[in-house]
Amino acid sequence: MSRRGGTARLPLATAAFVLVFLAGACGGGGASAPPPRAEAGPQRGGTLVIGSTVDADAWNEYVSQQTFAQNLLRRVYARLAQEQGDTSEHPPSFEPLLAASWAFSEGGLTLTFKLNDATWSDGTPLTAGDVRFTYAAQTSPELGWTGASFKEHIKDVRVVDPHTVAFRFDRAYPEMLADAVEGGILPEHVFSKIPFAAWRTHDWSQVRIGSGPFLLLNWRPGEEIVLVRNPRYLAPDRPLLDKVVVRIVPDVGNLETQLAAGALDYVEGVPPQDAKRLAGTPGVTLAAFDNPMFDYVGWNGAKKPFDDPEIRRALTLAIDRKAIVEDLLYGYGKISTGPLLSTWWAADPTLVAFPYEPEEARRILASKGYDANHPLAFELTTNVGNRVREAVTLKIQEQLARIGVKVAPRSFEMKAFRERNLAGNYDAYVAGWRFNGKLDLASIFGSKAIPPAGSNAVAYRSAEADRLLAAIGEAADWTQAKDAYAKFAQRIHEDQPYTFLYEGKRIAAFGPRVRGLRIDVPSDPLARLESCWIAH
Amino acid sequence: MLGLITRRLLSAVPLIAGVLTLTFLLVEAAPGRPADLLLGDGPVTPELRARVEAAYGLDQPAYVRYASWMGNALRGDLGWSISRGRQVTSVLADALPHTIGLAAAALSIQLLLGILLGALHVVRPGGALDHGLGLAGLVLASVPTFWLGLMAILLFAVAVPIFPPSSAHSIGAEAWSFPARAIDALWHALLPSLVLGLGAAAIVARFVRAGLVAALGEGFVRAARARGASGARVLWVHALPAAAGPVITLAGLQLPVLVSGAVVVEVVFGWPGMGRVTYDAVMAADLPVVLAAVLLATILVIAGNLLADLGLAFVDPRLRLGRKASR
Repeated sequence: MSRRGGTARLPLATAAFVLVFLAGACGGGGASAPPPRAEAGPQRGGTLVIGSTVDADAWNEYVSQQTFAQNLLRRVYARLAQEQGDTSEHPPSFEPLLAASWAFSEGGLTLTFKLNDATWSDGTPLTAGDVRFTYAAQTSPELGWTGASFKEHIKDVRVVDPHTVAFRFDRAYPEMLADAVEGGILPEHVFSKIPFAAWRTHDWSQVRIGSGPFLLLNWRPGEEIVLVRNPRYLAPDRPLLDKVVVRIVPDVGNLETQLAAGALDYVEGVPPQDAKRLAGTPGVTLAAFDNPMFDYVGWNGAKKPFDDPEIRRALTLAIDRKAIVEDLLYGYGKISTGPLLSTWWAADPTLVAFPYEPEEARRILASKGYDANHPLAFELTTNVGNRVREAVTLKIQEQLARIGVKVAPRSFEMKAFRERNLAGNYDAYVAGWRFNGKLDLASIFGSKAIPPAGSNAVAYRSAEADRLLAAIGEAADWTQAKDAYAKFAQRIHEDQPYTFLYEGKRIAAFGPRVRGLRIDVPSDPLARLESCWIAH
Repeated sequence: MLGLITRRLLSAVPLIAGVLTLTFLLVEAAPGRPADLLLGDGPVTPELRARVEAAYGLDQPAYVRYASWMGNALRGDLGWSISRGRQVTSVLADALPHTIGLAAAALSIQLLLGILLGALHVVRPGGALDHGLGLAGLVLASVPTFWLGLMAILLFAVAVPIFPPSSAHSIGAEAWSFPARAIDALWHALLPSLVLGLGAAAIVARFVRAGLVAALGEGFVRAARARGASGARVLWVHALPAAAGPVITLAGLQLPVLVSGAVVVEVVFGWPGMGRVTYDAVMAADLPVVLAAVLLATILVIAGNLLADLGLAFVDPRLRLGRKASR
C-alpha cells in the first residue's frame, strides 16, 4: 500500500482491488465506453483522441513519478503478465502477456516464467536477459526506483535459457506473483547503454522502442503525445487502433467542451461537480470506476488531546461523512471504513463505519472536560490546489462547530504540507492514500515507522497493531493473511488514529465513437487500450 | 544612442545576477524539500530519499548548487528539469517559439487595434462614439482573461467552429508541408492571441485617446490645420507621433508580461508556452526551470525598456536633441 497526500505519483502496480462493474457493453463488464448498439464487431484502424490535463514527466517507467505517464508507458513496455480486475475475493489473478506461463517450485520459493516468442519493435528478440536486466534496474541503488519495495523479497533473477527466467524469493507470501511481474520489461540492448546512475537525468523521449501494443511516435511537450500501433506486438490481432493521440489541455473546462464538440474521444478524471452536466450532453457517456484511494483526517497522536483514542472517536462521530460524499463528491464515492479499501479482498465486510452521532460526540468531549466554556480548538490543514480536500476542511469546520469544536482550516503548498506532517508540526490534516497493490501497512501504522524512520506521521503506537502487522507479514498465503488483516482493521477502527472519510470514484467520459475501452483495473484505466476501437 | 545601449547592457549584468540570486534564495527558503514532491508522502525510507536526492544533485549544499548552476548557465547549460525529465534548454526551446509567436501576435493586435480605437475616440471627443468605445473598452479590460477565453472557445470553436479549441497544431500536422503547417499554426494562434490582445488593446486605446486629445490642442497641430492639412493627415502624421510616447512605453512593458505572464491564456487554450512552463515549475519546485524562466523574463524586461527608450527617441525628436545637447 502506498500513501498519498496529493496527486498520485508512485509507480502503478499490480493493484489488488475489486472493480465496480458498471453497465457497459464493450467486453464482458467493467466501467466502459458507450452502451450496446446494434453494429458490426470491432473495426480496425482509426485514431483515438484522449484529452488530458497533464503531460508526461518522463518516458521511463522507473524514473517517472506520474500516474498518467506510467499508464501510457505500460502500453509501450509490456509486463510479464497483465493484472485482472478480480480482487474482491482474493489477490489479483494475471493473464499471460510477455510470459506464456509460470509455475512455482516445490516449497514455493522459486517462480519460473516461460516467455512468449516476443520481439522488440526494432526486431530484436525479447529474452530472459531483458527480464534479468529489468530486475537489476528496479533494484539498483543508483537509480533509486520508488517502487523497489515490490522486489524486496526477491533474492535474484536467473536466466535459465533465453525463454525461461526464474525468480528466487527469500520467503513465501501472498503477493509473490504480483511482485515478480510488477514493472514493464526493458530492452537491455538499448537501456544498458545508459548507466543506472544517469537514468534520472537522461532524456528518454528520444528512445523509440517497445514491446507493448503501442509505440511512442511523437511528443510535443505540453501539447500532444502520439502513440502508434506496434506492428511487432506479440498479439497479432491487437491493437485495433492505428494511433492514440493525447491532447494536453490543462483546463478541464476546455477538455469537457472539446469532448462535447466531438474533438476528443475520451477524458478521464472528470470532476464530480461537472459529471451531471456532461452526462446530459448528447453523444457523451460517463463511466464511474473505483479509484484505488481514500481520503482521511490524520490526528496528531503525539499531541494532546489527539493522543486519546476516545477524543479521536468522538471527532469521527461528529463528522458527517455521508454529507461530505453527497455534497462534495456529488455522490461519486462512499464512506470509508479504512484502513483497507472496502473493495479489496483483505477488507473485512463486517466492519461498519462509525455513524454520525454528534450528540454522543458532545457527550464524550464533555466527559473529557471540553464544553462551551472550554472548547476544543485545533487547526486542520491540507494541501493547496486540491479543491475537494480544501472544501472538506471547511465542511468539517462547519460540522464540528455544531458540537462546539473550533476548527481553523488552513492550506499549505504541497512541499510545505508534507514537511509539516512528517515533522509532526500539525494538529490534524486532510490527505489521502493511494493503494498501488503493495500492502505496506507497517510503514504507516508500525510504531517503528514514526518519522523520521518511516511514514507513520500520526505517531500511532499500539503493541497489538504491531503484533498483527507482524502476523500479516509472516502469512504464507492470502487466506492466512486475511484473518490478520481483519483483526488489524478492527484494531485501527477502534483506535481511530485516522478518521477515514471516503473512497471516491473516478469518472471517465467517452465520446460517441469509442468502443471496447473497458475500465476494469482501477489502477490502470488504459489496461484495455489494445482492445479499444473506433466506430467508423 | 550607442552610449545609452552600452550603459543599459552593462547595468543589466548585476541586475540579472541580483534577480537570479533573489529567486534562488526565495525558492530555497520555501519550506519542504523538492524530494518530498518527487517521492510523494508515501512510505519512503530515508535511504531511498537520499538516493533520489543524490541522483539530482539535491544532496549538495544550496550555495554549491547555486554556484554550479550559475557556472553551467554561463556555458549555456541551464540544468536538468526534474518535473519534465529533460534539459532545461530543451524545455525552453520547445516553449519559447510558441510564446514568442503568441506574444508577437497579441502585441500586434493590441497596438493596431488600440491605436485604431484611440483614433476613433477623438473623431468627436465627448461624443456618443467616444463614450461608447470608452464603455466597451472598460468592459473588455475588466473581463477576466480566462472567462473571455472560455467564451471565445464556446462561440468560435464550438457554436460556430471556425477556430480550433486548443493546442498549437492540428492532429497529424507534423506530416504536412511547411506552408500548410505555417497556416495551421497561425489558425491555432489567432483565437488565443485575440483573447490575450483584446483587453490590452482597450488599455492602449485609452492611452492613445488621452495623448491625441492633448496633442490635438497643441500649437503645431493648429499650425498644420492652418496650413490646410486634412483631418486625417493632422491625426495620423502630426498628432499620433506626439501621442505615441506612453503607448511605446506601455508596449515595452507588455513584452515581458506577454512572454512570461500569458499563463491564463495558455492554460485555457492548451498553448504550450512559457507561462505554463513557469507556473508548473514553481508548483513542482523545479528550481533550474524557475531560474531559467526568471532569467528570460529579466532579460525581456531590460530589452523591453531599452526598446521602449529607443522607440521614444525615434518618435520624439526632442529626446534625441536633448541628449545631444547635454553632451
